[in-house]
Amino acid sequence: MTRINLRLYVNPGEAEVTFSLQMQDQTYERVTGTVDTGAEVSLLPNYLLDKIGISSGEQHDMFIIDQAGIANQSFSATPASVNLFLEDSHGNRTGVFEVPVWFADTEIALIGFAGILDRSILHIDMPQRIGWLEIDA
Amino acid sequence: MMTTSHIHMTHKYGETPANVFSDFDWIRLHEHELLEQYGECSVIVYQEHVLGVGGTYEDALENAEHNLPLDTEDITPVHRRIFHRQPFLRVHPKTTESS
Repeated sequence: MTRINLRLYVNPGEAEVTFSLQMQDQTYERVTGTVDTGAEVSLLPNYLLDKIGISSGEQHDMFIIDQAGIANQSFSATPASVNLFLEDSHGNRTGVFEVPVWFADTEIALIGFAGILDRSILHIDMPQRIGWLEIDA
Repeated sequence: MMTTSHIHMTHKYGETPANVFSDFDWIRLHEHELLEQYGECSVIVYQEHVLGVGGTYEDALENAEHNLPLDTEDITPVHRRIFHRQPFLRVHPKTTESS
């Protein structure tokens, strides 16, 4: 298990994790994501689609999602599998592993259960401003 | 590959420049000021200085390249979207229709 320290913020409250997404040329681009225990699948911004070699114009891959509990809002998403690794400011990092994600018109990356939180121990202590996830990856 | 001249936005596995985490932190902690100054945008930040801003990642990168002094050595800035946060970010899948 690798322990990846989270960055905890207040006003607004947020637990962030840093991950590096594998690009088409096998290099990695660093992205910050918000840990979201309400997200079954991680959500990534569309601008990353072209970089990993998936055309955002592939309409046949898109589908519509209703956001539960948020006034009937819906959005389209492109499902994909990406390779990534997690890391923190203490020099800890996981190996590279594959994760199913959705790409959508979002400003923020959300780190959800599929492939990440569902294989992690999550610890968040807001009063102490410390948190981590331990992941077998 | 997102390498434009001296600006390196991608890296190899295991490469973590010293500025990366402090720059992400700096952006997050100065989010309100950045929003007031630039509005919702993409920012490119290196060593706690805004190098470029733009409506998209590509625009911000182009702006950073334009603002970079000619004698600058290779740098490893970070990118982040600045935006007005919504109170709920939760996503729960319920596929309703194919397009």
